Amino acid sequence: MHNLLRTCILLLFAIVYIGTKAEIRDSVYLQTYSNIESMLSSKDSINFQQAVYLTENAFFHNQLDKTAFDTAVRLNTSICKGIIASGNIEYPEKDKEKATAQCAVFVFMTDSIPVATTSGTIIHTPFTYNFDDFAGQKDWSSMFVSTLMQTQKGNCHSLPYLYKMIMDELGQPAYLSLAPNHIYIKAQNKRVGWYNIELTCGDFPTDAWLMASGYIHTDALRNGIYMDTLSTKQSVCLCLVDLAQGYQAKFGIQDGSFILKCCETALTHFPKYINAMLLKAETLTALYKQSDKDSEQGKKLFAQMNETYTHIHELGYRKMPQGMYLNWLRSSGTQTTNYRMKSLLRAKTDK
Amino acid sequence: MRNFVLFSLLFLSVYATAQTSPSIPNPQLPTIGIPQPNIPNPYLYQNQTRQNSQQVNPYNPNEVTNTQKRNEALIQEAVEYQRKLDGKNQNQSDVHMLATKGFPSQSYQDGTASYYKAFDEINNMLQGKQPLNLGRAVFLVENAYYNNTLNYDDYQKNLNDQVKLCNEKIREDKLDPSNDLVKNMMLFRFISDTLKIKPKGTERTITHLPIKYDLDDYKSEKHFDSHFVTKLMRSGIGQCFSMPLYYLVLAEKMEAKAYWSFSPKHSFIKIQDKNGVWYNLELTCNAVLSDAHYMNNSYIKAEAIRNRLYLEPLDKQNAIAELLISMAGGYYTKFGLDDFYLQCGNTASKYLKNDLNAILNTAAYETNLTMTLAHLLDAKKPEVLKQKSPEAYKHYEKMQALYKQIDDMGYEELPEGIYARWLEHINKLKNKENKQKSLMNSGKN
Repeated sequence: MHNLLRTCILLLFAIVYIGTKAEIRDSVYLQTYSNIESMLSSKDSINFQQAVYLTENAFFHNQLDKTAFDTAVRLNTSICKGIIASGNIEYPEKDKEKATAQCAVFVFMTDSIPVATTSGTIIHTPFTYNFDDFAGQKDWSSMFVSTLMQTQKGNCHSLPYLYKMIMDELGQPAYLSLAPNHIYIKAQNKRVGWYNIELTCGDFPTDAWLMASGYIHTDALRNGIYMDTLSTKQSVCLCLVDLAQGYQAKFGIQDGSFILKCCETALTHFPKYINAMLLKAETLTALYKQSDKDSEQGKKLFAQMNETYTHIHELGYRKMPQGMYLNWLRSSGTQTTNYRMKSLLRAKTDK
Repeated sequence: MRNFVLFSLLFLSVYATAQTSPSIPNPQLPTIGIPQPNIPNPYLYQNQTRQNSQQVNPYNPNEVTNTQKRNEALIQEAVEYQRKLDGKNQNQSDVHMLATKGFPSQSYQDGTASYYKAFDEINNMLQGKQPLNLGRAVFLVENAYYNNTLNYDDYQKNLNDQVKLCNEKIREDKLDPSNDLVKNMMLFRFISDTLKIKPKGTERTITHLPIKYDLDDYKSEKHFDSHFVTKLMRSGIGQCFSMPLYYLVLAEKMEAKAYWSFSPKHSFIKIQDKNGVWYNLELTCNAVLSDAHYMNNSYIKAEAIRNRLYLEPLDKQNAIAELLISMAGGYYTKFGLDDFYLQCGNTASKYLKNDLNAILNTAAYETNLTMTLAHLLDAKKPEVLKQKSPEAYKHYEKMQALYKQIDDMGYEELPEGIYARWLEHINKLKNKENKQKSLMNSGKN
């Protein structure tokens, strides 16, 4: 009797504990989701930096210090302001302020910068590419801007995000842009028109190069699923899919509902967001595989999955063929910038 | 009464002061005499002659003619002034006419009628009153430039002969004559490769040489007709406008599906296989190229692709509408700008999915008009133009709006370096050709 009571109590605790754990898991992510959703549906003012912070904070169980995050971005911005004020950037056209900011943030992120502090001049070293975990496979937080600011190591996710945040702080336009498994910066000034900034190797690739090496179909360009400038709202939609991916890295797909919800909301506000479509299709595929394929539910999932993949194909998305990837592996020994870039772009398709 | 006198006096004195104040010495103030040096004024006599210059000096034998001359000069001056006034009026009416009606019609010139006739027929095609016929449209545009001196039957016969050759070769190679890809590949070979054809029932072999690229006038600057299909047919030399058009005209006759496509300052052929995959046929150098190749070579940006400015396959209606714009170019070279030039672009833009070229046409017209108005009004800055003639300024605003529209489409001029690279490439080819020529000549000797 005593034993039974003890077991009962233990069981009760266990249930409560498991329940609370699930609740905590869901509550942080659900809260973050609703915060970002209210930005997108204009219930709240839209702010890319805030959305990025929220996404990373959810992954860290609500433990990411908001003030420290904002201060770090502001500190980086102030160094960039210093570079602008130094007058070392020469630019002849009328839109000097914009072009100088574009250049200063690029230089800051890719080159060593002497910074005068109260304790003498220190050198701010450039951010480097995280070769060990560039796709966040070992640790999803490798994708984070907060990680980048702490470790100076980033990838094609965190580096352009930080660039955009600093430009936002400076009040100058810069745009995130998508390529397959890749994010980069698009900027415009009078002298060169539109151009691309690749922070992972400090280069300015042409659209043609991105298209050829990134395996982008012309239809994907025509339909604007790749290489278009993203608005702030669209950039925040990126965060929502990041949130879903962080959730998946931490807890797995579960019943798929949270991931699908994030994808759907992202697609409501950014209907051509290819990564949301891909994640949705992958999730539906995984759920379909788990399900009883002959049941109503299974058939429904199969139909949804097919519909999503067809739409993705129609928009011009093409999965890189295996042979192309192998070619890249063979050529990756070459050290030229182009090959390095290529490797960065293609390595991620291995996922 | 006393008041009145006082008032009158006051009035008078004020009046006098106002009129002649410097000459009336103030009685209250003693005048201080400025001591005058007792030196004769050297200018005294000269001053006098000057003062008396209007009087006739009877002792001067030249005086009469001088007077005449002076009078003549005065008359001249008056006439000049009048002319200037008239000129100003003329100028003003010119400005008014230009600003409200645009450049005056050139229809009085010989040869314009050929253009108007060609336009009507092409317009009928576009409106669907007449079947779309690319071969006919090409002929109309070029015949208008030659002022109706080309013969359509000869043109047709020539084209039919070429098609016959292609079909002979298809038969000889035992290919499927109803297959679209077969037809296109044969045309591709026909235009850009050497073909040896043995017509059925004969022993002789016909050798058809590829169309040569016009290294000397590929921009069609030296001779306007260097980009004409009929010129290509006459000479066997073409460039990036005439070669694809020639291909399309032959494809039309062979009933092969092929599409015209543009990249900056260039055009080529797009075809599609039965799986829906597109291929680009580059006729100028006998190659099948990827979209990325064109993007890289011509520096095409993603915005331009998204706005469908380049690398789009044009259907027949769009191709014919583009021909209208090229026709406007011919009209401009021969007669200058007027409402017909504008009409070509405006009509084309009704049918074009991407009317960049039509807008560039209109922008060229508005720019010319604005500059002419600014010149006539001597307005070096837009603000001056606005102040001098609001109706002329409207054209400046229109021009600006057009350029904004063009910018928004993602159109950017080729960077200088890219174009220079292209020129260098052409020069290399030219040198190579000249070397070969001289080698062959020395061999003959």
